[in-house]
Amino acid sequence: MLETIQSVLREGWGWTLLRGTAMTLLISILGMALGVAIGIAGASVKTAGARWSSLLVSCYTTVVRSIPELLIIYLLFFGSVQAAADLADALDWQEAMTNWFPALVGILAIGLIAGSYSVEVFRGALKAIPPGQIEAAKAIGMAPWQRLLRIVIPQMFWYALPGANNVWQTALKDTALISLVGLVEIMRAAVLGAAATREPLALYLMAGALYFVVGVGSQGVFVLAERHFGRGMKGH
Amino acid sequence: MITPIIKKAALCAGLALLGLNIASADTLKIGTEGGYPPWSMVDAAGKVSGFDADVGNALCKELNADCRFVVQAFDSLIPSLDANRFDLIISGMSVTPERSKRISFSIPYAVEDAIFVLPKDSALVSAASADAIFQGLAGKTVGVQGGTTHGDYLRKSAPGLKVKNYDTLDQMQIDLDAGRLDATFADLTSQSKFLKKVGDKHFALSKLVIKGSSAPEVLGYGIGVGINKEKTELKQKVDAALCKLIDDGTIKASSEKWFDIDISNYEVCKK
Repeated sequence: MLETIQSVLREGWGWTLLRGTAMTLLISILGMALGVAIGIAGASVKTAGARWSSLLVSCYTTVVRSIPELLIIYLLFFGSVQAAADLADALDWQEAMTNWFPALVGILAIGLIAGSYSVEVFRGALKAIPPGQIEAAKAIGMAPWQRLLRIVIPQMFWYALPGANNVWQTALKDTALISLVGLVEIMRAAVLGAAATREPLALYLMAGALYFVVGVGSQGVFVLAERHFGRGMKGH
Repeated sequence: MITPIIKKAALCAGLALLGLNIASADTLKIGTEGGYPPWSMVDAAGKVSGFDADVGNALCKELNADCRFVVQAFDSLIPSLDANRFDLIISGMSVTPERSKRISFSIPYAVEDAIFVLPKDSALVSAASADAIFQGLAGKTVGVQGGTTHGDYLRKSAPGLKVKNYDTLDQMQIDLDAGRLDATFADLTSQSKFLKKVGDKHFALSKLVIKGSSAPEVLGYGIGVGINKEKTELKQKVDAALCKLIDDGTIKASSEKWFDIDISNYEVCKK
């Protein structure tokens, strides 16, 4: 097996897989960022918004969470490919659209999926902040924006971290599903390499190792984040 | 989930009315699968090679256009062509009535026969008719690549077989190698590539070749270039260029380079 891997590497597939890793990271980080934005917005609406708007958010999280991720990506891709082409024609952006459409669909899909799980993660985090603290802040005359910046946001991130960590790991692995749209991320690079070299086991082992490295590396980032947001949180 | 798409579609449809459809003038974007050697594969640098790439490049030269290949999963090629993500599909795609409902095809410039790979000691290797093979394999499991015409053919002509679909030829061939399949059914060209790789110790090609012309309504009329239905002018140009490439031996040369046999369709241009 080691010899096979070496010969696959000599053909240059190592670089292709590394470029695929960069693409996987790009899609999952941007997708996760979108997901966190959706999560915080959705959680705020659900805790403080009007009844109809929180119903809308619940609809979104229920629907997206009960449909398989792969199906969401298919629906987004096949549902938007025509619309995206029309938009590109209208704005004369065909070139940019051809190049960036797969990445956009990927980021949007990962964002929508991560967002649906994040809404509940951040809602839980907001609820975990003791109401007494808000009352105390009001009592000493903090303005709403001060309460938000000093009391709510720092603690929300702290409480949300373990859940967000799970969402991130899922998002990272969901990127393997977007190879359909023509994006060469780790999984697609491995599939193409497996076909070209006829050595599927070697390519998929290497892909697995890359996912593992990225996964373990990002765990380290979460540990650092927990330390950062956890400073001053005694008893945790 | 559904609402954003509809909203977006409505918005985009509105915007589209403001603009015009401007076809890219001298670049031809060609959709291809990239994971189906020796038809279409991508090397580590992302360069597309194989029979499809040769046909594409020769075609672009004939049409005085620059070629750009877009590599995408086979299943996504037709919807993407519909949406003008590229101008042509060149991906070893068989012309079938089913596909012709959605897109139009050039002339079938190549015809490919299909063949079984069987255990070497099987009596079916030397079977003389398709029916003999189907009866011999009754109740057994035969692997095909999903979404291809081969699976449709077996399901229709040999209902006694268990047909198992695979995403890629690799997965199918690994299962055959591991004894999880009794036979595989695919293009002559990819089957002989597989035998070349594993050697002829355990497996053999069936003597019998299933000709596409024996069941064109299922197996297809040959390999064609997929073209958006609205682009009739492009189709005429492509047809003329393909006939020229068949006549001057360009298709023959690259077919022999990749498959060791000539799969050019000489009949189609004589009509």
